[in-house]
Amino acid sequence: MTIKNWQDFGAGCIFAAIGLAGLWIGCGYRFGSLVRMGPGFMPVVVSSLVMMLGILIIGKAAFSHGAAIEATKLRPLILIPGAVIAFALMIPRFGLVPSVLVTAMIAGLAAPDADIRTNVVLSVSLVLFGLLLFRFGLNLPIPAW
Amino acid sequence: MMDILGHLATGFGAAITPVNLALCLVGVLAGTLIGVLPGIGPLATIAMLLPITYGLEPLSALVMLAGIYYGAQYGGSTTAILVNLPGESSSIVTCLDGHEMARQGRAGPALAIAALGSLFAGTVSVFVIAAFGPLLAGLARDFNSPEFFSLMLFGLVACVVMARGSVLNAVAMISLGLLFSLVGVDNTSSIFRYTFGIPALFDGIDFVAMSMGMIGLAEIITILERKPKARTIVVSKIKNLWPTRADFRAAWPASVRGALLGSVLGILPGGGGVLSSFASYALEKKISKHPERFGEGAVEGLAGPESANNAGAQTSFIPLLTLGIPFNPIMALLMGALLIQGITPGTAVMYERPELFWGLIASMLIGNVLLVIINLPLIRIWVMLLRVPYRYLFPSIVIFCCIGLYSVNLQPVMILQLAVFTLLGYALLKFGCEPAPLLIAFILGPQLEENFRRSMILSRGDPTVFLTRPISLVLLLMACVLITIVLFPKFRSRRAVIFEE
Repeated sequence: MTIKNWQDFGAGCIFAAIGLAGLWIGCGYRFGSLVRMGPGFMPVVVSSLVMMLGILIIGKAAFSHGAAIEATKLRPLILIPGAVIAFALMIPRFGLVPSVLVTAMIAGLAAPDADIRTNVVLSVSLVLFGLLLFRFGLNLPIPAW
Repeated sequence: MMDILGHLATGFGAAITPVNLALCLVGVLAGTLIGVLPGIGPLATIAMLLPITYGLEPLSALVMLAGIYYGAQYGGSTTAILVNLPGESSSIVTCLDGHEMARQGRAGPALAIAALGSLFAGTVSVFVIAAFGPLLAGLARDFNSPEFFSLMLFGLVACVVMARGSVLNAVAMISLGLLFSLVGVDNTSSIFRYTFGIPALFDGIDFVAMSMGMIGLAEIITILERKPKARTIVVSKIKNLWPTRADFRAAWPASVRGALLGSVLGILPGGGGVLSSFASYALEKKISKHPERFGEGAVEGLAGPESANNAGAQTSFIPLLTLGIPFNPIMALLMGALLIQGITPGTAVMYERPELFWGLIASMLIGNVLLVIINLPLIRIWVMLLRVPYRYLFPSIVIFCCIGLYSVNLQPVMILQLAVFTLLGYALLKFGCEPAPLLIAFILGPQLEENFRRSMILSRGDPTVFLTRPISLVLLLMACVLITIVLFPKFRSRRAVIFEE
């Protein structure tokens, strides 16, 4: 099988994989019957649907041409989720100020035209803004540090 | 008619409180702001601001979030006219004639026509909502589980038709959304499904985290991958805002047609601002005596679509408020906001809490007037904001999402969910799958399962119950018709053309 449409192939793989995993786990719940649907009824039905559609899309990828996948740049792909994860790890331990500072710095680096100076200025102003709006304005119960 | 006025009076009573007026202003200002800025749309903004609304009254929350949506339609046209860059997808056609007018030195009149047309259409569509809303809700009053199940199925099929790209992908995204909605505790058996022993998943996947990640942050990554485009702003000085008498003569019939067309298209599944503006432009060009003037600064080509997109944006609230079915992703987010408040939108809400429905409608009238008052004088400021480079914008969005999400229940796990859905959303976007159908299916999932379960108990396990009840049958037939149309080659090519343009 030669793949003519990489976009479809990728999408199909995601659907098929999630569907298969869902079906695998879903089979562990009681299925029940139409009258008395168990907790496993919908999971099995829906996962099978997702999986079959995934396989269908993979099959389609072998027959019809499609647009090529646009080139991926690793920098934003790593740094944007990275910034989010950094925030999740820092916020319970260090509070608002350090977390926002680090998160904004990491996120800012994802820009192709990033430079350190504007990045620092932006991060510091986001810290101030975040403090003013969320800590003092909306009075959220998040410690400042 | 007297009825409507009476209801509207109730609505104004509920909407005119200092808090609601202030939030309406905040909403339309935020909407205009993000409408002006390309690269961030109402969908991402509403997702970002959802956590802030948790502490508000339901009506206040709704007023603000709705203001963001229709405010964005105004802001988007400002960018389209001045920079030839659609701030929102609903103002793509505004670029054609609106920007041409600006290049001919008539940016002021173009902006004024867009704003006045929107105001007029906003007013018209409010009355459409007031007239048709109760009608539709009355229809749904006799609905039982099978009807609701078929209605939701119809809504999901309609999403497929309106989604960009391959039909198969859209169906798969809907199924995936349904699968995600199953995560968490099952209401009837109290069994945990797909929770992997993670306490944060016991209540299900967080809708806000999912929509922020798949819409907001995933899109940031794809924007950063492209080369930044240089923007040139045509007019730095806008003189003479007021349109000429000839402009008015050309604009008002187009505005009336646009407002009516938009109001109708907005109610349809998948409709809203985008579809309405395209349809109106096509209509104006078709009935014009001088179609060759379109694209060279024809006033009708600006007034029609600008009126239509605002009308469509506002009437797209009807299905959500009267039937409880979100027909576009923005409405899915608003439904999410209401569900978090403990309100399931639909027929019952209309009768039990009329102040919610009518208050929102009244706030739309107020909001539209506010938009015209604040927008025309503030154009200078919006133009300045257009110069803000994207690299200042996106870190702010990331920070807003993180703090907003954390503020809900102070659980860092929520933010990890955000990261996961950012990556998943990015991958799906790359492979040509739009996130909108998934979100709509996710929000409808629990009710779909519940209504199916109830229908089966009602009919003692006989699946033909959906075909023997007349309303349910009609809804399913309508869904079948939609599917046939979308699979029909002629429509497929036309659909491709519409989305390409």
